[in-house]
Amino acid sequence: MSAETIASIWAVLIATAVFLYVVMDGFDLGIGILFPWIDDKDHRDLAVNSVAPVWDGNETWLILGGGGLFAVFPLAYATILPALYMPLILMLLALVFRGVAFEMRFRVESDRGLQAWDWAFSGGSYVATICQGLALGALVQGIKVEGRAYAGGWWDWLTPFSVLTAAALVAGYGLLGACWIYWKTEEHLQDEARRLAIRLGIATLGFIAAVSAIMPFLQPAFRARWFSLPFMAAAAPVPILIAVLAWQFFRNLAWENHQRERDWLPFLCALGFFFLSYTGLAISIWPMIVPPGITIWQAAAPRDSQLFLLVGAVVLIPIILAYTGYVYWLFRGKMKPGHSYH
Amino acid sequence: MGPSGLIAVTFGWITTEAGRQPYTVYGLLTTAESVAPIAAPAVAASLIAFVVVYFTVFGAGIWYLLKLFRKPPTAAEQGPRSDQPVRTAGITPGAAMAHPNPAE
Repeated sequence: MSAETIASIWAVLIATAVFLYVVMDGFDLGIGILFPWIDDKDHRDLAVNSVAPVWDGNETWLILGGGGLFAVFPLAYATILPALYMPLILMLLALVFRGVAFEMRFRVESDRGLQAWDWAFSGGSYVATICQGLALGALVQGIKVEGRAYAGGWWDWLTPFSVLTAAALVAGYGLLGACWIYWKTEEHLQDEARRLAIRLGIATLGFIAAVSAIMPFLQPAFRARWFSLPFMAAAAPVPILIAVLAWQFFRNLAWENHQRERDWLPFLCALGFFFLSYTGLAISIWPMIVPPGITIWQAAAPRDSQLFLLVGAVVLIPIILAYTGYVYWLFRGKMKPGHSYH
Repeated sequence: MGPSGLIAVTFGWITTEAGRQPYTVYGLLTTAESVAPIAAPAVAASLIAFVVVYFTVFGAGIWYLLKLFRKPPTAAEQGPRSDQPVRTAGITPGAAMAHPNPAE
């Protein structure tokens, strides 16, 4: 295999890992985003328990994405991380509070203690999500590179567009969280989740439209690609697919109120929104790994390093997928109040 | 003698790091070449933030540990049930626990 082929394989692997991270940690961060709207303590316990067996496994994919970037695309790692230093450090600190809150929420004895850890859980989820959204917006907008080093300041990531993507991600993760709760719970909490999911679904679709409308005008390269014939032909089904998913989503949640057999459908539709948006983003940026200037081939490590790591990935990724699938299978079905889920 | 191992490891680490200067990769890459172009205030801010967060979170953990220590064992306490597996870690009161909240 040539170095270019291996670099392309790695680019797809890392893009897949980041996508899996976004949707999987997305729904458990979404639980924290919904916390201020879940009034009942028992319902909040149930919502937290619904992700307790899987949330830390979900974050595995962030490490695979970051570690992969470090090992296989060192130039991308060395330019993106300094550029996004503030949001990424803040995200990690927020994840600390959130992760600890999972354990501490059930150790407190006073209402004040519970309130504090609920705040840590919810606040950590918000800050982590906002930081990821800011990082995404800043990356898409372009990172200033001179030679082989980041050449911008330490606040370059804060732009109107990155604020928009941060708000979009809060709505999107909230939507995933609401659809997850709707799928995993019954009765009153399920109904609360249904109402939240409808509102967040409208918000998320609005944000997808807004970001899509702005994207082509961010960089000349995006514009050239978006308005070229092959791209437009390939992209034409995307709005149609989103419309079909949206129709299914709202029909299931709003119009078939009393038929809840297909309680997994809204979650699947929300995953579809994310998948289509993510693919659109990837196609716009490809083959850049650090827009606007560095391609995946320029950023790639020497061929032998890439191949060596690919052997490890080929062994490890199926194992991770297998145990992840097993955990989800093991904890399938509706949540039961008062049961242990860890 | 308790902390001597920790002290030895820490000083060994400092010796390694200081002794390698001015290189990051000995003989190949200097620290000046490998340092990231991050503004000093950003690095200072993140360092302070890590210190504050770690003290807060570890402080809370030690607080709950001490609360558990304070509760003396009593003769009336029940051991773990033998007909169920006992969880070793977790977040929710386990089915095998006699009392839903052992900290109380």
